[in-house]
Amino acid sequence: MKDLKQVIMASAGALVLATILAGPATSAYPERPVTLVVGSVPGSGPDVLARSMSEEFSQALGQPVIVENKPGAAGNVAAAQVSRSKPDGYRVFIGTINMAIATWLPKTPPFDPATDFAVVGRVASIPNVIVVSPKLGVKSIEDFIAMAKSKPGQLNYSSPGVGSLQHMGTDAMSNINGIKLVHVPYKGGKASTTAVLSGEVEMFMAGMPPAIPHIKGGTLLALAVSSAERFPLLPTVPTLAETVMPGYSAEAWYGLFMAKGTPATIVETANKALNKALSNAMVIERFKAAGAAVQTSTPGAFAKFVATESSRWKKNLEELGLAGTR
Amino acid sequence: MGLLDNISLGFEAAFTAQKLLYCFFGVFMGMLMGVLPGIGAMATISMLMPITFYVPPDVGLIMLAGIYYGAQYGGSIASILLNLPGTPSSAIICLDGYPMSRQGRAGPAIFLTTYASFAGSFFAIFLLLTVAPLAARLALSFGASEYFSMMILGLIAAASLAQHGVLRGLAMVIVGLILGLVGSDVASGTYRFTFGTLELADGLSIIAVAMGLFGVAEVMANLMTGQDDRPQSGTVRIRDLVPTRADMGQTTGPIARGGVLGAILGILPGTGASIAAFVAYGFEKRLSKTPEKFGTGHVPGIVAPEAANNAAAQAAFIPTLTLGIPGDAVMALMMSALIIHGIQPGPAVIQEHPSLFWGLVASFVIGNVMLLVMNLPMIGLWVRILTIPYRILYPIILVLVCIGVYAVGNSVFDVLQLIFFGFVGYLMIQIRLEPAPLLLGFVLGPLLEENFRRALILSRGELSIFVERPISAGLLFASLAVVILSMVRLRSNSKSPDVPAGGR
Amino acid sequence: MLRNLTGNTQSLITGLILLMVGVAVLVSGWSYEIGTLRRMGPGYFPMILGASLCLIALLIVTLERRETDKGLSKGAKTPRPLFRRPLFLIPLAILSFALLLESWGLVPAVLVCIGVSGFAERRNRWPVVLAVAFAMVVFTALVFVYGLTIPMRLLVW
Repeated sequence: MKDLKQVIMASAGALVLATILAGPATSAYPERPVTLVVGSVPGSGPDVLARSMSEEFSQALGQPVIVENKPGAAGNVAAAQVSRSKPDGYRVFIGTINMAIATWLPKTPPFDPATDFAVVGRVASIPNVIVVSPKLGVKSIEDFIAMAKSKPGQLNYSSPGVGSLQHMGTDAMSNINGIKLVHVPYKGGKASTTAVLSGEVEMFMAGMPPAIPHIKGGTLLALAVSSAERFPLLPTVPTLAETVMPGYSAEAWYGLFMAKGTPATIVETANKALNKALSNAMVIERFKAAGAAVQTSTPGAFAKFVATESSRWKKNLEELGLAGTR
Repeated sequence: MGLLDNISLGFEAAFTAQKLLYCFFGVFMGMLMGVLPGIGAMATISMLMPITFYVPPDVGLIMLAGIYYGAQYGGSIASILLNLPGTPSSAIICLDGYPMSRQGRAGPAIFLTTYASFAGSFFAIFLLLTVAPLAARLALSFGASEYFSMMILGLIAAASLAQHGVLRGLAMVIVGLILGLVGSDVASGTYRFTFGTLELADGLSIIAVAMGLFGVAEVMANLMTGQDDRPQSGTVRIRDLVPTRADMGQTTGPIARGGVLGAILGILPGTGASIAAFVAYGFEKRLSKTPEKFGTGHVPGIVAPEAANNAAAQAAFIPTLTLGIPGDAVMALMMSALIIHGIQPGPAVIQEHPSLFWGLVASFVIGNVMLLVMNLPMIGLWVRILTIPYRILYPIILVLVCIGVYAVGNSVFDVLQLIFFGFVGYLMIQIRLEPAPLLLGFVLGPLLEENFRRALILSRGELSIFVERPISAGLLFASLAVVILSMVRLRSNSKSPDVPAGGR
Repeated sequence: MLRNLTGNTQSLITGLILLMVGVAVLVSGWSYEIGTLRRMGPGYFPMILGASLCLIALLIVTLERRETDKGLSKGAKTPRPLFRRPLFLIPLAILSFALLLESWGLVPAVLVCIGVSGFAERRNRWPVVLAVAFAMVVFTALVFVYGLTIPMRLLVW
């Protein structure tokens, strides 16, 4: 019996030693599950995309991918946390355009999207779509502008908050066309959409996901989309650029980010796995159903894009007098 | 297309082995997770959602829905046994459920809430079957001013149910509203009372507030008075598990009224369930000939709100499915599960996918029967928890509460909030301030302000909008009536010598 | 404890506490823009709430004083001699859980949380506390980490 005990003790000791030694030596990323951090609640836009691709992303990485929701401050609680986490590639954040917008609203920005992350790659983009009730009696975006001109300060539009992409987009449209609309903020895109449905407000420059079901069901009328090209799901709807806002384009984008200082080899590995997952037909189909178009990129190209977006929206917020006010 | 056609179509669709299995799995998981403090329908659904990718959409939906209403059954169990409410609507079950448990009547209390849940759900299912498309339109007729007025009614009801006087109730509602201010203001986005922390940008954690005020405070109070070293009930006899005939006799009216209230208010997106539970409680207390019994373990005090919040949980599917308007985060999650499958919830869903819609409704019936059958034999098991001596039980409660609070947002910061609200709750017990109205105020606060301000933006600053719109005016009138009634009662009470003054 | 005070004193204390909260809201909410009725600023609602809480606090102090002690002390528990340990140990237990969870893992967090809180009750002896702690480690690991797959790590090293 004593021998047995010694054997057990010895092998346990050896095992512990082996684990300690083996730990840093064989660091072929990834060697344990990867956490995909979502900055909003389950069921939200980024969450749906994250869950739609987590299975395929996991297959491509060769490790389980766990989706973790850490909501707060338009996703920026999670973004700030991932930016400061250990740069080992095990915490990946699905970032949204809010990283480039909402970060400039507080008095001290929690991070700089251009410099505080290792950028992995682009995931998807979702354009905005201008919707009105069919009962409003306008058939095109030009009709709407004309109606707004004849009733200055009488039409209302909803948005998910001051300083949101939807708010700034509508504001830009009003300025270019010289119309005056009253801004009514709601909590989230779904509530903003409901407001148009119930007739409380006349117009909403919606994100695709909450609007698509109603456009298809005929309860909302789509007047224009905000992307540079027409959107595949709504081929008959013109872009803002080809109608009332020449040269304009603004889309909600999604991408993956890691902590600042993550080694380039890890970022490369993750980027390849991501692009492989995004080429899967099932993933493309699920994204499409959610109103998103899959987009892939190299880490470098996406990093450049994020930097441009960051300075664009920072400037926009400064012009509106919103930057650094919270 | 008649009602009977719909029902038979639904049952035909729901009675397949696969659907029954998934329905059972859903309600079972929902109920168990509902019992764990803080881990409610939300956490369970987001965990099990990936399963729905691999089964047909209607099967997945039946399972997710089962979790949702199954959790409603489970939620009241922790409130009754341990004073641990997971949601504001089950917080109100604590008021009379926990006292019943302390009197050794936990068994009957759970029996009665299960029964009330079942009956309440059926009211709402009946509504779904008969007037779903019509009822959905009610949700759209509610604008900012109607929401504001309805919340005023809910808050007045909450204040008037306080045991130590309307004034104290009102004070607690306002403190709750103040706590609800923390975070970013919807209209301007300004961060208020966040003390410079990004973690508070979305406000305080509702689970931390509820668990702190009820659970942690109760643990501290019990330990401070040192009276709770009992094994709360030595042995459990079957006779102690079922309610007496007198108990049952008190249930019919409250359940019917609670069920109807819940079914109507549940249709409204947002906070239907909590408001319904509070209003149902307040309503029963007003109607009662013995209002002083409320809060001491009175049967109508648990069955009315329980019927109301289960009815509301079922009715919440109406706007989600027929209008594509999700009432709460769980409904939003369910909608996205459908969307991933290529089904767009919206006005067309009943016509385009009749077997999905009616099959789901039929699965509600089946699921609720399963819950009833499953729950009753488990009462003995739940009550047995109370045979554990308190000095062993309370550290377990504490760990479960900590994990529950953490799991909601994966946030350590939320756990720290728990400490603060534990202290506040303990202080409140000492000076006889009640946490339930505070909790409703906290939940409704942001919505109240949001809708008040929005109504005034829409009316361009005219306060008359609140009385010009008929539904809003009606709700405000009802609130006023409640206030006047309470004042009348307060006066008559202080005149009659045998009723202790300030008792309400 | 406070519960044992007469109704008058208790109403006074309650009123004063509520008044303090109300004043605090008014003072700290002062920095937010008030705005107009047509477009209210973020400071409008806090001002209304702070002011009404102050008003109700004053009403509690004045109105409740006239009522009898009999009704007010109804339902008060008879307290045992002061035993203050729980007031420190329960918050400390939650605090240690919060601090240990992400940096050390669930296992130490549960062990320490139960270890600390267990001794808030005088009669608890360490073997019992230890047994409960280990049982809960197994239970929480199985249910929350393996069952519910809540993203918590068992041990971080």
